[in-house]
Amino acid sequence: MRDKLEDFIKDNKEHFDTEAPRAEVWNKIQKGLDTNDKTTGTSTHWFWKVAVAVLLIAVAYLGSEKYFGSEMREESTAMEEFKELETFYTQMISDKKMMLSEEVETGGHFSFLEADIQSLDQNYEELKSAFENGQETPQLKSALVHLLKQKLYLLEKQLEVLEESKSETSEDVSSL
Amino acid sequence: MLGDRQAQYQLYKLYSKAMYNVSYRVTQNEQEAEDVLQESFLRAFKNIHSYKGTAAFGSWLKRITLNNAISLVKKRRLDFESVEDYGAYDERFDHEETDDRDFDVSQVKKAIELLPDGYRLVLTLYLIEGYDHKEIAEILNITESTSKSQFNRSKKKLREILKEEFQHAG
Repeated sequence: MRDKLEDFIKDNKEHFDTEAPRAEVWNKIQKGLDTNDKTTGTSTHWFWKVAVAVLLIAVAYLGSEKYFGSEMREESTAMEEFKELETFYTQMISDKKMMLSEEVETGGHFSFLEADIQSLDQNYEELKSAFENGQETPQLKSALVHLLKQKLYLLEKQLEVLEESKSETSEDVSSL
Repeated sequence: MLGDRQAQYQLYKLYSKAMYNVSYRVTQNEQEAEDVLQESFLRAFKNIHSYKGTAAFGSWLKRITLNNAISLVKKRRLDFESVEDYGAYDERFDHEETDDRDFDVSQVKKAIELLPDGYRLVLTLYLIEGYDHKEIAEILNITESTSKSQFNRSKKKLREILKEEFQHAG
């Protein structure tokens, strides 16, 4: 049995968002962020670029889907979803790699990391080839995304280790 | 830093209104809703590295906003007990409600605002924010069956308010 009141609220949920915050709120957030930037001195520029790019793509995608109705939703395939996810993670991985190469001038230090990444890349290429050649299953898509996440995780961990060793070095120097 | 700030502003423009309304529905107070909004965006921006892209950014931000709003209300008010577990609601005694009237958004919105905190919270989390009972149980630290029973009670109460407050309208 359908509930008319329940359906009414669910169907009109966007009309319940009638309030709006005052403009001062953003100014306060900015001040809070400025204080934080001064305290930590870290730059997250690369991440923001990726986050906003992904977000704008998502908003544009959702907007066009709403506009064109449900037909586009039906046309969307596992392959398209995978390509979007692949682009997102590849971009993040490439940014992390760039950060890592800026941190490390010589290549000899991270042979174990390179070996791990090479192994992941090899698995990835094999699965991707299967995915693109007829085995377009959700399980395979998840496995591919998982491998990309693993790669990203390895790079993130390595950057964390570098950050830690850098801060330890600067502490040692300052204590001299 | 300028690039960071521009990107953050883009995100703020996209999500601030929705997050403010999420917060306002919980706190029912403009100043508190703004405080929650400010705190939530600051927390999200400062912890952007912990966002792994597994959920949509909006869902991640909404969860931060909700948690902040709920803990603020819990801290400042003590009348939150209506969401506590009073035992399972026996739906056998729940008479089927038939709605023979058309609803109006502003009236329903006003009636939701008149619900006790706990009822309003469960009802809006389910019907407006789109969480299921399992997620609501997690957010409010209650059992799934409590979430379901509180939702049924809150719907009943909402109908009563609509009848009492707006019986001559519409």
